[in-house]
Amino acid sequence: MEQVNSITIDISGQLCPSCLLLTLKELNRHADAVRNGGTEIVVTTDDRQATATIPDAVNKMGYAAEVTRVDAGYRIRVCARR
Amino acid sequence: MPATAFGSAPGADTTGRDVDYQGEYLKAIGYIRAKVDQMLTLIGTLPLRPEELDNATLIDLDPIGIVTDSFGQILAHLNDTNQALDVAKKEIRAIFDAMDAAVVVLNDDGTIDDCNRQAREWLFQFRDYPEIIGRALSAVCACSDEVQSSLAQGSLHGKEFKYDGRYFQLAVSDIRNEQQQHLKKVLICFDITQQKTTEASLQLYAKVFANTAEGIAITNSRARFLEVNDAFCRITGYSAEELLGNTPKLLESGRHDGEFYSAIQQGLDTRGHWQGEILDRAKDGRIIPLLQTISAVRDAQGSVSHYITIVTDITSLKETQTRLDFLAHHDPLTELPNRLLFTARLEHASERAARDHDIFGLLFIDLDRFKTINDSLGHQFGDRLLIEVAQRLRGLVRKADTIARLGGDEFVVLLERLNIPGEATTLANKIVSAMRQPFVLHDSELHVGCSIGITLYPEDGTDAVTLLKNADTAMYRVKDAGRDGYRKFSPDLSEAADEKLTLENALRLAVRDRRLELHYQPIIDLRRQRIIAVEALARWPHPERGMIPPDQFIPLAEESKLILPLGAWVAHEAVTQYVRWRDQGIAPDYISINASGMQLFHPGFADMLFELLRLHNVDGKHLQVELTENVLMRDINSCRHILDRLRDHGIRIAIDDFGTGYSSLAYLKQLPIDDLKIDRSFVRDIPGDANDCAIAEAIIGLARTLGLETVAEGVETVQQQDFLTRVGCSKVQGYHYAKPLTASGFEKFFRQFPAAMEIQDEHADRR
Repeated sequence: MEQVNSITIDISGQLCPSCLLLTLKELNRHADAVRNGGTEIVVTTDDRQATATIPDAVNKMGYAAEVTRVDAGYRIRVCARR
Repeated sequence: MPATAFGSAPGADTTGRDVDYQGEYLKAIGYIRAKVDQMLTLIGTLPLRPEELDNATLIDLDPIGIVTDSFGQILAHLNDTNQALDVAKKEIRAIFDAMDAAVVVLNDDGTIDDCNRQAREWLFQFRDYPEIIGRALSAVCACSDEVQSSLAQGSLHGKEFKYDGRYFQLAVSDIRNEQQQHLKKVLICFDITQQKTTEASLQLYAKVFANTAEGIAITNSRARFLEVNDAFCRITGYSAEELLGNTPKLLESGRHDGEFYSAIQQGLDTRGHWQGEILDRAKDGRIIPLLQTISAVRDAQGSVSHYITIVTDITSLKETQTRLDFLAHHDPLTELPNRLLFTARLEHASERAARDHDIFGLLFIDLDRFKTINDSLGHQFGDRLLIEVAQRLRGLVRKADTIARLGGDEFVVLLERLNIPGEATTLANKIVSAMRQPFVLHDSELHVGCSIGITLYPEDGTDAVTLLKNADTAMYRVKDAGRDGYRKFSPDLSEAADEKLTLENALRLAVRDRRLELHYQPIIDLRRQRIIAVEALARWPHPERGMIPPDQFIPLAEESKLILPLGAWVAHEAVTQYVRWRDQGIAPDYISINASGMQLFHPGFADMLFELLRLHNVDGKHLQVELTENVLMRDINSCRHILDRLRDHGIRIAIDDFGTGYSSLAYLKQLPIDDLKIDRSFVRDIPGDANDCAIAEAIIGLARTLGLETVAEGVETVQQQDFLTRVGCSKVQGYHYAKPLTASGFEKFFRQFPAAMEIQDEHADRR
């Protein structure tokens, strides 16, 4: 399996739409790398709303998002679509 | 621009007017927040709340930049998605058009939304898409109204319909939106023409299978019957229920050995089929001869899955064959072996006798009076007689002996493994005696009799041809010697037969080349002292043997049937000569010719004479036909019929050699006869012999009673002449007057008569 570079951002304590904007800002910066599948962005958040807004927005941009529950809150993985 | 710059106090702009910078800053911030919120809403999230994000942080975070970048990505993604959709649409179109079914998509209003290539071809007569799309289905598809409306309603789902020579099966599905509103209807028409054709063929095959005259059975690879048709049941006598599950062993007749069945299996294994004749046993125990063809059917892997057996009942064919075989080797009338089979047995007997130093005998039997019976009583009668003769012969020979009918009235008997040569003559004697006994047919008693020639192997021949030929020769010698007997062959008989054959050939050539001659003997009426008639007599001058007398060549001519052309020639020559003389003033009352029985009974004899007379313009009364008593008595009815016809044309009829044969006076009376010719044997010894005198006188008296005239033959002396005249016979012929003369001799005699008679007298006295 190909080695994927993960960029992790922790936006715990932030609320939407800041969470979204911060995530988009990171994603915009690494757009090409994420789109070609070599990089993924993993966001850690405790804002429940972000688990809806972030996947919704990145989907429209052509990415896939995967939400998992973690102790601190949620981890949202944004990566290229298969 | 640093956030702090917006927070500075009011100042002046470049025009120098006072500007409220604080107010303008707050308006700009408000505008940014509004636009950011608008974009955030578009991207699907909540607006920014000022309490969460102060103005300085807002500027620092640059949400417009972030969202603008993200929008750029959204647009790029949309673009990619559109392109992928285009490709997908093309893929679907390709699949759509490649489908082996006609697909039509109908809008809710019944117009055509789309269709594939097959639909264009099968349903829309290759119209262009612009002519189809958007039009009502009924406007572009010429199928029947019923199919139209059904198609439009989709009520044909699963149904079949026929259009433009094809059979279709229809599948219909509806397309609805999320609100379950009806949008479109997809019609898929599958072409099932091939399936229909196959179905029809299968039905036809089923009919053929059921109705063919050949029995057909299908077995599995282990030879168990899976299917049998009616004919197979009919031929074998078993019902389908009895056969199914069983193997062909059920039908084995026991007439073939294991090797036979192994050969069948071997044929199937190596060539995939076997054909031949086989004897099976029907349910009722009957043996049935069958012509059988077995074919192995192999599956895709090449192993035998089924065997197909086709049988034809050849019982009647076999019977016909057996009958034909019998007919080829037997005489159909008597059912005795024929010449073909007999010759084969004779050859076989020769080979065996040569090997075992055996002797065997051959009897050649010819019936004596068969031809007369056949001619007078008819062929059906003759055939009945031959069957009786065959029956009688069967009763006389041993079972091991062969009797055959070679044709006509000729039979042969092959006596194998003789102990002594005398056995053959003993049997011949028995047969002659048996044939002498009368046959009773249709209440008539027939006397036949037979003549038998005998040969023995090896002394009279060692091959079939010689043995048969020599037996035939010996038989003919019996015939010549008066029939009704048997004779063993000897080499001198063969020489005589050869001699006869040589003479017969010479006669045939002489008749063909007209090298025979006619001589003429005058018949004189003493009372009137004139030549009243002349008898034409055939003479055969042989280049080496000189003149051959009639009593030698006439029987030969009769036997070989040469008498027919010979007789015709005599009649023609005699009448021609008569006319020639008449033209010269030499005119006896009539010219007399002799005719044998074969001539008389030959169809066309009378007509031939009539034609001859007509041709030469001669009255019938100038021609006389002489017949012997035996000819006349042979078949009185036919004879009377022919003689009546001759008499109707005025032709005279005389009985020749009267007194030597056997005549029934009753019959004589019924026949139209003019003259009786007294045989020379009764004339020769008169007047010295009292008996002959009495006979001659009796004949003359009899003739007078019957109203007939007499002519005496063979008169050689004046004493004979005087006696005959005295007892009432004045018509004479003989050496005393003239021997048979050439035509010119007769002319001379005629012109000098009666002076010529006196010269003859002198000659006669001198003899």
